[in-house]
Amino acid sequence: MVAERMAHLHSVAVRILIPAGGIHDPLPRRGLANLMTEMMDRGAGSRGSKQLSDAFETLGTDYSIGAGTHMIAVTATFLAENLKPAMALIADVIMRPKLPSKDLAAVKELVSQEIQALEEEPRRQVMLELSRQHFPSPFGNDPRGTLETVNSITIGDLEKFHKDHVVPNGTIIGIAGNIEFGQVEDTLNELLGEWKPGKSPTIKEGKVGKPFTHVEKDSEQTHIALAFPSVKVGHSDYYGALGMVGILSGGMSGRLFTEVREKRGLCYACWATYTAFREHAAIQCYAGSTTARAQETLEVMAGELNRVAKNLTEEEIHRVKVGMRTSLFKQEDSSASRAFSLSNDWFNLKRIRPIEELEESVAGISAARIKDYFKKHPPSPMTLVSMGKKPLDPAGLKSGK
Amino acid sequence: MFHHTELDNGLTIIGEENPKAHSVAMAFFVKTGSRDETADESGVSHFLEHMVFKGSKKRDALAVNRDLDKIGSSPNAFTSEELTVFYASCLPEFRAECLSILSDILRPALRSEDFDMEKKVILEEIGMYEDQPSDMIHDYSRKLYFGDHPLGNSVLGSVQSITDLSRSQMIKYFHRRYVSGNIVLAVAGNFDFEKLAHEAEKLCSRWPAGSSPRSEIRQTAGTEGFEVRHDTRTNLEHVVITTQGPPASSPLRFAADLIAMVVGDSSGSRIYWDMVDPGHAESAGLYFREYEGTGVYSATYSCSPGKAQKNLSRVMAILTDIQKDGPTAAELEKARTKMLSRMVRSSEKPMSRMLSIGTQWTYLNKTLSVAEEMDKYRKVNDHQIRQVLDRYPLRQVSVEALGPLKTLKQS
Repeated sequence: MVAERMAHLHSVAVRILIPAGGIHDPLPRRGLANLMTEMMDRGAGSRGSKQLSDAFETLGTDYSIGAGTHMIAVTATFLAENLKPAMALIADVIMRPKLPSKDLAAVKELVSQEIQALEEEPRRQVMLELSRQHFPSPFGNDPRGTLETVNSITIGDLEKFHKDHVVPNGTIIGIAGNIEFGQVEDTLNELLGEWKPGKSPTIKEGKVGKPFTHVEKDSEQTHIALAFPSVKVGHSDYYGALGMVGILSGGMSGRLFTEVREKRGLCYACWATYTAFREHAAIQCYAGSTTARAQETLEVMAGELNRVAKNLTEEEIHRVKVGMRTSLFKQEDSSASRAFSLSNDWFNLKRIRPIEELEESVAGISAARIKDYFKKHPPSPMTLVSMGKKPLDPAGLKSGK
Repeated sequence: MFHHTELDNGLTIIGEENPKAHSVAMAFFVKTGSRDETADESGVSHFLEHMVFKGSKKRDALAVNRDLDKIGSSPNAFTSEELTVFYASCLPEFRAECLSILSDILRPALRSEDFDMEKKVILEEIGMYEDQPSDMIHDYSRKLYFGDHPLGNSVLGSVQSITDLSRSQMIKYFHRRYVSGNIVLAVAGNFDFEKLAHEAEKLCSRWPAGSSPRSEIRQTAGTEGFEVRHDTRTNLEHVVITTQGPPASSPLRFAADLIAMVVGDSSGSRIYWDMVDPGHAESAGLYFREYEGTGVYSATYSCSPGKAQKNLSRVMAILTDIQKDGPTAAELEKARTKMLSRMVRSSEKPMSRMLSIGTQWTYLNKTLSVAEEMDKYRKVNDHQIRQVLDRYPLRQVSVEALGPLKTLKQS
């Protein structure tokens, strides 16, 4: 449990990460963890589905549960005085879900429709395909699974998964807001003290996908997604990576936005982001451009990636640093974003980075560090996924445009 | 602590100080949007919103981006049917600079080379939305419901209207709509109002005075219609059912909000339990949207095409039930608790407070504090619920469907 007192707020936010994410799904049952989260709040402890939902609502709790790559995340925000009753409901959901078999068909139906809905959103779809090609299985898989694997899941699968993976060992609880530490500790001990530990499974890593993929789609725009490897959170070059992403895509004068959109009008949306989980990290980029202009867009993007460490100005470095510092402080106005950072820090680093340390790391970003990062970790090999009417020529990735 | 002042030219400045906050959020609310456009200007409000970031006489586009980035502000803007809002948030130490930049760009140079370049970006944005047909259905259903009422106008415009739009049309529109009496500066978070108002006076007092009230704000009960758009690019059928609700100025809007929450909130509502929980629809809800002069409720759902017909009957049965008997006491109480706790949670963030007071002021020329607004929801009683249901019955005026289905029958 990691907690931070924010006495100036009325609310408390909690984020519980349980080591039961999609990577633990047996391959023929992909989507099991995700389906699990849909089933877990359909009744728990002494309450049926509707009673449980009513109880959360009566406490004015903003509550959600969902499965990611590694973890199932339970998040909730409530008023400080409701800490205990809200946590009691969450403990029921985690430890004593009813997993009612009468609801399984409906939940499968919901998830299937959700998978189909995703295909209508090319911007999200292209990024999911990028993860699938870039990261080795099972890390790149979409936790939702496929229509086929979801439909094969049984109540028995869910019960076994709950017993094996929804366990306290490896679970991280981040709490932020108007709390007293002692009270939080006592409450959690009382509510979660009897939660039974399980095994800590190891994950077998599979192969990565193809470097270039085109997905045929009758769309106005060609959606372009790129990824290349980066360093993990906490690595000595980590802030070099963040600095480089900031140069490319931080604020309004990031180089990608400036060159692709502002100077050439090639797209509406264009960005780069750093993404990481324990085993892998990458920098991912996206742009969407109408079919005839997509190849040029790819070339301009690639050109910027290939020369990102060149001609770094003091002004650019300053912009990146002040942007990062501002978002650090804005966290202080929201218990939910602080609980998010606390739990993520523990997940990635097994420790909490105090604000002062983060400020110092941001202050340490410099042109030299970004150049050094680029030298050690150039944007290669690149994974390219395009989605639209015409495939792109991957030779464009070598562009110096 | 809430403050309000007005400059000689008519620009309104409002602010809510919160010394405990770690940041400050601010915005210029311009009371203009697609409903204020003539047919040959379609899309100009949103295009102009983009052009504002292309710079003033003092700054070119790259300088705007560079200067806003220097202070770590996260600037953005949005355009709706009746508002164009330019906002940013930053650390308190950069507040003065942030205001100075925002007020500078609100007098854009509208250079012709920028106009031509940004036109391409807008056309890309239209392309992007067209690739997600489920985003487009809201435009289609608004047009169907509002008919020739200007609230039916598209915010983005069409490829044709944007291609045809000239720079001189945009300049004319700008002079017509961006006058001081039509603009509200709203600020919330950690700042000193006196100081801010003084700075704003220096920066904005030369803006042209005058007001630009809307010509057409008639209340409308909508146009009956039933439209099924066959679109093979989607897997799911998307449906929007629209009916009249109270306008933004109505004291009944609080009751309307609670009804929408009982009937169609994303969790725990009647629509949730009857449609989403059993897996009949991937998502479904009822939303209340208030405008100047009128309002709408929209019931929406997305589902496998085979379930669309039956779901239409389900939605109509829920609306008919509520219309007849209203929500139960327990449902109303639960909705109230949800509403109040959402308000408390979001009130901790300067950005959401700023957007809330700014929006209220543009509609009502007054602002409720969080406590006052909560009180309004606490006081909603059965009588008001009945009143709002009688005056604005929950029924089907127009139905817009988009997806694989070729036909759908009236329920």
